[in-house]
Parts: sequence; C-alpha cells; structure tokens
Amino acid sequence: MKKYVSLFLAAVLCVGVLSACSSKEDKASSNGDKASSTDSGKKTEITWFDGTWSTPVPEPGNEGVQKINEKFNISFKPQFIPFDLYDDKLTVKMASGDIPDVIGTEGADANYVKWAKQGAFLPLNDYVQQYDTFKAIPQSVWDAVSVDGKIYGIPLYFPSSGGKKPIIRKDWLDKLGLKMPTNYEELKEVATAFATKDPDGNGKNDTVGLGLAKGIVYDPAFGAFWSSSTWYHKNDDGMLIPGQIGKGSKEKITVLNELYQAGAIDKDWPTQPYNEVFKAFNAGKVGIWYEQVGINKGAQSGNLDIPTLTKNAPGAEVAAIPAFDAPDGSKGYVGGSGYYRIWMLSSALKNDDDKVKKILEMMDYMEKYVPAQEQNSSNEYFDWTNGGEGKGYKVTDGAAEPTEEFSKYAPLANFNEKLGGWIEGDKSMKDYEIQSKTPESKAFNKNMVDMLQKSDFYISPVGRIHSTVYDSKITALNEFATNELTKMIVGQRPISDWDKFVDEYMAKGGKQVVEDVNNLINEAKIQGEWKKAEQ
Amino acid sequence: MLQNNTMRDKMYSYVNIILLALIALAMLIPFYYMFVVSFATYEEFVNTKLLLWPKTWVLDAYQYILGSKAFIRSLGVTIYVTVVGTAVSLLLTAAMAYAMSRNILGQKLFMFMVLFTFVFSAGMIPSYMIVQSTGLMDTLWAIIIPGAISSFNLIVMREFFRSVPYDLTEAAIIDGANDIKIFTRIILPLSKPALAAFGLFYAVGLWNSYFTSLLYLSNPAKWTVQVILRQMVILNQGNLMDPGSQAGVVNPPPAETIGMAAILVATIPILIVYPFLQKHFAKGVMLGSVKE
Repeated sequence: MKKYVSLFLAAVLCVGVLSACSSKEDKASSNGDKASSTDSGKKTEITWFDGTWSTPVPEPGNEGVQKINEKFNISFKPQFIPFDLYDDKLTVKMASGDIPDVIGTEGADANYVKWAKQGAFLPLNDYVQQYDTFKAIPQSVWDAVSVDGKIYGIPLYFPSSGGKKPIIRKDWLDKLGLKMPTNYEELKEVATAFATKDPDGNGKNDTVGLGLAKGIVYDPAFGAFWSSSTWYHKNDDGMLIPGQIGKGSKEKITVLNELYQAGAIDKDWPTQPYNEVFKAFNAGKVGIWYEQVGINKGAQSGNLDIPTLTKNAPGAEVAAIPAFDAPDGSKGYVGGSGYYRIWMLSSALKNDDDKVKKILEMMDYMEKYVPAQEQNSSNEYFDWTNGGEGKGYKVTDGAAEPTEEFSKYAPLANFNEKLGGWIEGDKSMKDYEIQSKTPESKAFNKNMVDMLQKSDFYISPVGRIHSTVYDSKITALNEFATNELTKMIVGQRPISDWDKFVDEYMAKGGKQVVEDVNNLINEAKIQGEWKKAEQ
Repeated sequence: MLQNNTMRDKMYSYVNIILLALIALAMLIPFYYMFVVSFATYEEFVNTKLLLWPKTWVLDAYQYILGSKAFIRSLGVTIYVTVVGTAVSLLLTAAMAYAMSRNILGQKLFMFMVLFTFVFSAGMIPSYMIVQSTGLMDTLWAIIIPGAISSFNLIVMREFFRSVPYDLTEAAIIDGANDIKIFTRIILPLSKPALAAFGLFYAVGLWNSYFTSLLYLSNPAKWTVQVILRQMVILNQGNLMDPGSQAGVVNPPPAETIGMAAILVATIPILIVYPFLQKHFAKGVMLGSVKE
C-alpha cells in the first residue's frame, strides 16, 4: 500500500517539476518574442488573422515571415486556422473584441455584412484606387465586397471560369460511334448508350451513363439557362427568380427523369455522396461527370485521378463538354463571382494612415502574377515570394513546384497559395497545362482550358448585392427544392406537379427572397451580364 | 423443471453470446476496414466496392504520416497534454472531492456552486475571454486548466470518498495523522479504482481535445494531434472552391489511405491504455451507485 502512495506522490512531484519546466519554457519563448520585437525598435506590428487550406499551416516567426519583416520593415504577426474550422474561431475572436489588424474570410457572407454594418472594418474606398492591382478589379467584384456603397475588403483574384465543368469519356464516344452531345436530346442518347451498350467492352452491364450524386451536388446543367444555382430566368412579373424553379430547371429535371427510367443513371444515386461517384469515375465506370483544371489530378478524393483512370481503363480520354445552345440563343456556363477570399482591415486603424498604407502596399505587392514560363529563380519576384529555389520550390521539367517546406520558407504562404492577378485575368488558367506532369494531365488541362476560353460566362447579379432575407432563408429553400427535384427525378413526384412545386417554394419564403433580391438589384441598377468569350 | 431451467439458461447464454458478438463485431469492423484500406493501393481501393483483403500491401500512407513532422510533433504535444493534464485533473478533483466529502463549513454552498456549473455552462465567448485575460492564451495550459475539474467526476468521486468508512479516518486521527496524511495515506490508496476510472475519463477527453487547442493556441506547432488529423482527413478531400488544387505537398499518397492510417496511428496509443486499466475501470464506473 505504502509503495503505491509513494509512487503516486512521486508521479505528482514529477508532473509538478515537468510543468514548472514547461511553463518556464513558455515564458522564455514569449520573452524571446518580446525581446525581438523591442530589438526591432519602432517597427510597426501588423497582426493578421486568416484561414488557409494549405498543410502544414504556416507557423509564426518562420523564415517566410522574417523575409517579410525585412522587406517591409515591419513586425509581421500572422495566424492561420484551417478554413473548415475558421468561422468558429473568427466569431469568438470578433465577439471578444480581440480584433487583429487584418482579418480574412472566404467570401462576403452574412457575418461579413453584419460586422461591416457594426463598424468593425475600415472603409477602403479612398485607398484602393492608389494601387495598380486593385485598380484592375472589376466593378462586379467591388459590388460583392461592398456594403452600402463602402468597400470593406480587398478581394483576392479567382478565375470566374474556374470550378467544376461537365466532362465526358471521349474514348467511349468514339468507340460507340457517337458525337459530342450539343443538346439534351443528344445527351439522352449518349448517356443511354454509355449505360447499355457496354462501352468499356468487358461484357458486363456495369457502366453508368451520367454520374449524379446525393443532393445533386454537381448540377447537370449544360449552360446558365438550365442552372439551378444561378438566377437567370424571370417570372411573369418580370422578376428574376432562382434557377431551381426556372423553366430551364424543369427541362433538365424532365430529361434526368427519362434517363433514370432508361437506367442511364445509377439507381442508388440519391444516397451516393459525390466522392463515391469520383471513385467510380476513376475506376472507369462512369461516362459523364465533372472536373476542373488542376496540376496534380489525383491524390485527393473528390477529384479526377487521371493516372488511376488510365491504369483502370487503358486508352481513357477525358474531354470537357461545351455548353449547349439554349432556346433563348445564349450559350455558356455560369461564371463564378470572380474572387475568392477577402482581406478586411480593422476599423481601429482609422487614425493610422501610415499603417493602412503599409498593409495595402504589402497586399498589392503579394498579388502580382508571374506566368508559368517565368516561374524560376531568374525571376527575382517569383524567387523571393516563393522562398527561393530548393527551399520553398523546386523546378522540374521547366515547371516550378512547391516543396513540402513551402509554408516555412515562402513569404507568399502567408498571403495566398497561388500567384495570381487581377490585371491578367483568366490567362493564368493556361499555366496548368505547362505545370502538369503527366502527358494525360497536360492533355486534359489543355482540352478544358480551350473549352473554357471559347465559352461565354453568365455573371449573376445576386452575388453583387447583400440581402439579409436571402441569407436567412436560402439554405432551407435550397434544401426543400433539392429534395423535391430529387423526388421528381426518381419518379416519386410527377413532373406535372411542377407549378405546384413552384408555388410551394414561393410559399416557404421564396416570395420574400425574390422580392427583396429584385428590389436590391433594381436599386443598385445592375442586371445579369454575359462575359463574352475572349476571341 | 430443473432440466427446463438449464435449457432456458443455455438458450439465454447462446442468444446473449451471439448478440454481444454481433455488437462487438460492429465495433471492430470499422477498425478492420481502416486497417486494410490504410495498407491498400489506391487502384485497388477504387476498383473494389468493399475491400476486405488487399492483394498488394503498401506502406506509402504510413511512410507519409510518420515522415510528416507536423503529425509527429502534434502526437508529442498530445501525449504531453494527456499525461500532465490527467495528473493535474486527478489531483485537483480528488483534493476537492475529499474536502467536500467531509462536513466542512459552507459545504452546501460549495456543492451548489459545483452543481450550478454542472447545469449551466458559460459558453465559448466568455471562456475565451477568461483564458485571454488570465494569460493562458497560446500556452498548453489553456487546454489543461479550464477543464481540469469536471463537476460530474467531482460529485461521483465525493460519493466514493464518503463510502470509505469514517471509522478509518477516526482511527488515523487518533494515531496523530493530519488531514493531508489521511488524504494521501488512507483515502487515496483506497480509491485506486476511482482514480483509474476518472484518470481514464480525463485522459480520453484530453486525448480527443481539438477545439480548445484550435481556439486557444495560435501557433500550429502547439496543436494537438486531433487538429492535424482533421486536416489530413478533411482538407485532403479537396477544396471545392479551388480552381486547380495545388496543395503544398508533393505527390502525397491518396487521401483515403492517409486518412485511415492517420486515424489508426492517432487512436492506438490511447487504446493501449485501456487493457491496463480495464480491471479498475469495470469496478470504477459502478462507483457511488450503491450506498450503504
């Protein structure tokens, strides 16, 4: 018995000693931090709080940060949280009044608008025209980050033609002697043939014509006219309405229902998450699915993995499907908002003009674009932002590629994962072809970018306004519509019920959303725009 | 009659065993699946609907994880937090529970205060502000101290201490022992089952802690393994927004196998603790349930 007691006491003592040591260490390191910041004398301290998708997360005080400190003569204190958990911490931080100089978000969401209205952020209208990079930002994007006409954030460039687009197994088309579908009738024919005519030639009836996932995650809309996510059509009163209840949606759901009857869509689709469909596509069992450009296709679930697909289905060729001709003469996909992520400045800086300029100068500098061909050590800017060759990046086969230590060495890791610029527009999309490693990936990226560059893109006006009614009701409405549309595709609800479905949608709050959104759009004097193809 | 009874008993045992075996299997199959997938190649994973035994076994996923500095470092942080945190929690809980098991002045008031926190909790933002104003922010103590005493554990432990006959304490007092001696020499040694059970509760809680780690620690070097694990499993699934995913990592093995391997590596250390505490644990969870 005594032995145990003394053992326990010994353990407690040990713990005491250990914890004493560690607290000393902690103190020592925080003292160190303080010492170094006093060493730097009058250097401006800039605290920065943002989310990130990169792994490992950049750590404070690493070499990249030191380079930033030297270059801009500041004391840079960044802090990053993985984006999927970022909102929780940001909310707590904002509520507790612990507001950093710069705050990042993924987009102009309800919280952004709320905090902007409460005066947490600094209006930047007077500043942005002084910087080349920001001058090039289109008005539609400024609208998205403005609240009551005041610009509260610096948006980061993101190609509006990016995002997943429909792709098709070109080798299956060739094998069955079919042409690339250009309308929903042809799509029906192709998808049915893919499912029933054994395109992979294994003698088994194990292929799916058109991939569809739980919750209709990727929308089989071959153009803005049929899209569920955008606001394109107008109702009889001339008011813009959500895509889900538009006439394009009705046509699409009718076709999907017919395809479902014909067995061209997996019978289990309403319960299959999208990454399961990717798995099946990579196994060579799906004919039509979705993907975007990218360097390392593969290595991520929820992604097309061309090397695996080629191993499973030798000779597989994946091609992008161009948008269909719509009955109203339009032809093009829905464009993204054109930005992704925003940086806001704390309103506490309103009397510190020098610091605001310093921060904006730094953002401007870090947002420059370097074409893929010039991404090497002879480009001083690229070399510096990416942490130096052999440290932050390495060059193989003429294409720069970040190393595992990128987040440690590269100053850029503290701002954005990618170089990209407002000035050059979507030209940066072509870089993916150069940076791809395998010939199959190069071919896929080239094919996809060619298609995107020939396509028009519809820019919805809804992304440019901030409607609190929309923010509070749209999630429930989307869920309702997705459920009802799913029922219609599998035949649980007849498509002849369509008008009733629209009425239900409007009764569940859709009416208020449509009215509020249209009022705001009319007030702002904006409308849906087509961004024409480059040539 | 007797025959019948044994027949019925036998039937009961069989059904019982089959049911329990099925439940145990339901617990084990996910582990088995994770184990198998973590060693499989991506081609095989993609091609088989339900993978039961890979044809080729590869160590890529484990090489990737064990080669990841962030993961190994966070595992170290978690072990430290679990060991130190459990010791601190046990010590504080036992000391307070012992004090409250005696008839001290204001006992009812203290009990009310404990029960109050049991029912009402302050919420995230006030907790954050307290941690901030006490200077615990960015130290591992922010994970250990705010949750060091769980009111539930405290109350149950108090009941356990009360079940120790007071005669023992009286005898010790007559022998000249003071309160601290009674606590360390008499009560604690008699309470090993309680300490083992609550130690395990605390240890598992600390091992799984991830939101506090993310909330209170801004330096990724101090994040616990669950945060890194979540990143490996969830972030690797690809960012829907990214125009072309360009994760900073060069050619990692596929996310599914990494995820499975990472979960196994992060679960095994805490699983190893269970068998050693099993015998105490079974007894421990019954604590305070019967009062004489």
